[in-house]
Amino acid sequence: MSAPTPPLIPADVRSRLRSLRLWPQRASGNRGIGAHASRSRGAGLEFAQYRAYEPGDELRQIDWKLYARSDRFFVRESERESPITVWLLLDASASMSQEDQARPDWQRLDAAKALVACLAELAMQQGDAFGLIALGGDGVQLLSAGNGLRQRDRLHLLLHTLQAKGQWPPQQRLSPLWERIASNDLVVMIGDGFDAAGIELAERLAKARRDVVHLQLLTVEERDFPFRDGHRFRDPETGDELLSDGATVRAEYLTRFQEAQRVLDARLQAAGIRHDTAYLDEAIDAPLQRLFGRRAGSGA
Amino acid sequence: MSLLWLFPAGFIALAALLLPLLIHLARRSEQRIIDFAALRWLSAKPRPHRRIRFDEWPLLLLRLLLLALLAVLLARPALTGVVDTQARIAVLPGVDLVAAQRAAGTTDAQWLWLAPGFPRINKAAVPQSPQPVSSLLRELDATLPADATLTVVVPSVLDGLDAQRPQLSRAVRWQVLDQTAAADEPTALAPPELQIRHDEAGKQGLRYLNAVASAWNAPKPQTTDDTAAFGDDGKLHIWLSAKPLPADTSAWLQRGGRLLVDARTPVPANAQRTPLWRDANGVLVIEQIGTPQGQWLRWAAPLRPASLPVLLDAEFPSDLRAVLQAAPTPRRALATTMQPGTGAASYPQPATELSPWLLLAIALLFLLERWLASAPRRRGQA
Repeated sequence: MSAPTPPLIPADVRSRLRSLRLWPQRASGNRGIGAHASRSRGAGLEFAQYRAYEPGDELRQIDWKLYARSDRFFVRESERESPITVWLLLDASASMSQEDQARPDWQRLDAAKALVACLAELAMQQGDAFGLIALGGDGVQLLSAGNGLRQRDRLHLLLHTLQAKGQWPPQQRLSPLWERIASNDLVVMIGDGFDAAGIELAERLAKARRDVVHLQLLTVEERDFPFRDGHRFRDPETGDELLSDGATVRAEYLTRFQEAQRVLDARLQAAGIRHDTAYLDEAIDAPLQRLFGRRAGSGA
Repeated sequence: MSLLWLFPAGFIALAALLLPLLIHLARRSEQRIIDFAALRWLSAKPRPHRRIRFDEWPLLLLRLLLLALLAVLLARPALTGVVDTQARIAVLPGVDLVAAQRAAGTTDAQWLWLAPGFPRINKAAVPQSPQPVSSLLRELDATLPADATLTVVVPSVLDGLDAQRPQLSRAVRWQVLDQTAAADEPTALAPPELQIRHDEAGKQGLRYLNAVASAWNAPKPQTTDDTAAFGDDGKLHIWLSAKPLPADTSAWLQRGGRLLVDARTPVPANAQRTPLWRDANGVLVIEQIGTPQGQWLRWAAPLRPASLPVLLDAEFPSDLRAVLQAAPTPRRALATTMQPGTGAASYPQPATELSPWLLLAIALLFLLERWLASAPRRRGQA
């Protein structure tokens, strides 16, 4: 990496992060997030606020004493007593090094690193533990889960040394994942979504009761295919090359690519995985706003 | 007004137009490898045939235009028959400008000095005062377009004329300003001084020449025998010897020296001889010798009264001086009498070359091309 490293999170993005909250899909059991019933007693239970009842809230969360006094339903919200663990699964295979011709200094991996840093920032603000697992040509690089500012610094250090190369590691080398990621942990996978092994991993994690979020990062060229001339295209992972004329294959490529995206969406949807697709020309926090924004998170 | 090309062969340079086109096509053919992870959804379809297609149209057109203009510049376009009816007012240096402007009227005419180069009046310093008026008038008349009217403002007394009324191709408004010029006293022409080299036989002519010098009121001639060289000065050298001329004479003649040689001196075979002075009886006295080495005068006969009776004539000194030293032509006249006449042939005007404007256009186009070529839009593509 070059010596002067730009900050991973731009200032405007950092200010918008305040309105976000990482919330797991399933609030459940002793490791739930925030919305505890008033009855439950446990260490660290701390009243936070009353909130008006909304359809969908569990009946047992309603504060009946307050109802008796005010004749209105209120839900008692409290600080989370047991933080969840957020695992950031970063695809660091060679395909992440792709960039747009229009913006050659902004690799897909750069956007992914910024996303990881944003998510870690969110987790740290909420007091959640967070860890990073980078999967690439160097195998599995793992930063075990932790909390606090020093954990964030360790994460940034690892991110800065990370480079995109090689292929998705084979199945047998993924065992550390299963050892570390416990049930009900929040797993955020960030990658291009082109590796079938990656999607399979997401499905298996989701089946094993991990709360999986899949963030797909696409370049503008993959979305728009702006090539007009004959070019030699190369797959950065396999090294395959293909001579093609941009103008003539564009329509076909776009239909096939959108079909593939639709199939991927359906697969993830069927596995119960929250997913979103971000593009390199968007703001970094745009997919996070769509997934974890106030509107999306109000149902927790 | 019509356009013509002074050097049409310059259009061969138009072949250079092929250059940017070829470079453009050659650059396009080089293929850049593009990383593309979504390769599996891309079908291989190489370009069916090479199409000639240009991108960067504005830049390419600009460069072609630039080259075309350079070729046109080489072909030297020029305009003929430019109608220029602007009035010119030429003022002789030494004329009071305020009076001249009052006399000529404050029109929007071009005001020029009647001086070499014809500088503009408000842009140049006042030139030297005595100017060759007639010569300048003819030059100005020849360089001005035929339709331009000319006014000349002169003082009442003109100096620098050439002994005749100027004949011009156009009618000139002749403005004479009453200006009292300082009266010059007439300059007397000094008689020529003599420097004589002689041999033994030439000695007998010396007395006549000494007599001539004293009749002219000139200093006594320097007289030595012919072994001594002539001095390098403006005096009239007289060679009274049968020997050929000294070797350095030719160079001295080229510098404008005047030489009068004896009849016994050998004349070069290829010399052209012109009779210059005959006496009343038709006897040739002095002839002119012209050779590639220079011109000089020669006594037609030895300086003896027997062969040259004119030596004894009372008018001999003054006649000899008239031959050796022509009287100056009259140069001063009253301006009113020297109104230029018309009737001289008018000169065709040279074509106006358009090169300065073309150069300006080329420079501007070049700047535009540089700006387009280095625009951030292109830097991003590279």
